Amino acid sequence: MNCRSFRKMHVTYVDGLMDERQSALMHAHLDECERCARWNTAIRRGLLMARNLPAIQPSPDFMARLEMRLASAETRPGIPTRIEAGDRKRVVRAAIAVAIAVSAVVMIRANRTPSVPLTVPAPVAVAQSQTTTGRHNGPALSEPELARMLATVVPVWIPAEPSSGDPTVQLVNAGLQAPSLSP
Amino acid sequence: MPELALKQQVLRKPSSREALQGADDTAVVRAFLAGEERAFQELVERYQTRLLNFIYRTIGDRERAEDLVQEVFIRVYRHIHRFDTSKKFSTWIYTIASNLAKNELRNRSRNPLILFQTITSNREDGERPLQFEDYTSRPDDLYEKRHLRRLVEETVDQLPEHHRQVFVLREIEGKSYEEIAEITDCNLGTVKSRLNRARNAFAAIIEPMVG
Repeated sequence: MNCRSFRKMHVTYVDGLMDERQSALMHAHLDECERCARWNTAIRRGLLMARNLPAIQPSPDFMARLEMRLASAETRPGIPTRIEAGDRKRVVRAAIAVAIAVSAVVMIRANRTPSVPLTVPAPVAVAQSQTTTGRHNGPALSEPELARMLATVVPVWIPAEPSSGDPTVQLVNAGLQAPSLSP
Repeated sequence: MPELALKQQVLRKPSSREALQGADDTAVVRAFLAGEERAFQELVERYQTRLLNFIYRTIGDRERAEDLVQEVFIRVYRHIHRFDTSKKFSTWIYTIASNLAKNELRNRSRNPLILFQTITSNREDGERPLQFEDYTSRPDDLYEKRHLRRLVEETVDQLPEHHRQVFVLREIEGKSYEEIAEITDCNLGTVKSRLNRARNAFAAIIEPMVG
């Protein structure tokens, strides 16, 4: 494995999503290449910090302001009074389709042929949904813990076993695994 | 009918709030569509902080991020009757948020004055630009001075827009590659490629401080 291949596959490697054979190749390259080892450490420590950024909270009056806006006439569900930009094309297409349909009906009646009944498509059937995934499992690391890790270890993330029926992978906060990876 | 049973359950006031809190997103959406107004409040409480952090980390302006989060919920309220409950609600609401954040950044790039005002209003009085900070301290010293957190935030802010959004969705919001692909309307290969570049760019800036 060369440095280029290593860096190309690094995303799935650091997320713990590689099979054993590929991981072994990546580990082996780290043992041989000091430059990639330093780069790997920098990324992992950087991600450790990013994943432990404190969450900002909404303002105390956020809900009150939202309720006021929702209570206004323009936000009743199912009754949009403003057409948002993304809907304009759909509205125009629908209008054209209606105009064509009406023209067709008028022409058919003018030719005194039996009228064709309009059909309405059946509503889409609703299936069972999946559960949502959230942020990383576990509480954020404390500042002393984070500082210690940044100074001493190379973080490794272990994907949690997906819960039944949920195919997505959840990130788990840093575990101090794979001693061969430490600088 | 499960919707009726849930509606009956949530209307029994002492436990209705608990019923909503214990239900998954789809059940809460269905309760709202069945007429339970408190169900929408539950959705707001579940997602307001997450969306605020996602949009804030993407656009870099806290006050504007809160406005956009409100806009997300207004759009959800207005269009929830069209939401396909066989799909993930989380993906749907994040897609709305992602599009609003992208529009905000696009609008800013057309108006440099707004961008300048945002940068200056977000900077605290007397704060020096990050490049003049002391890089020779050990990581734990830097962190104790709170500089490291600011460094990370500023580094994320410096990432190119496409890379930043993928980076925030993955590293801060914990979304899977598949969800990110759906939210950003890209294929999986593009998501991984942007994430790789985002991490490279991030590491290049961070490395002198933590390598």
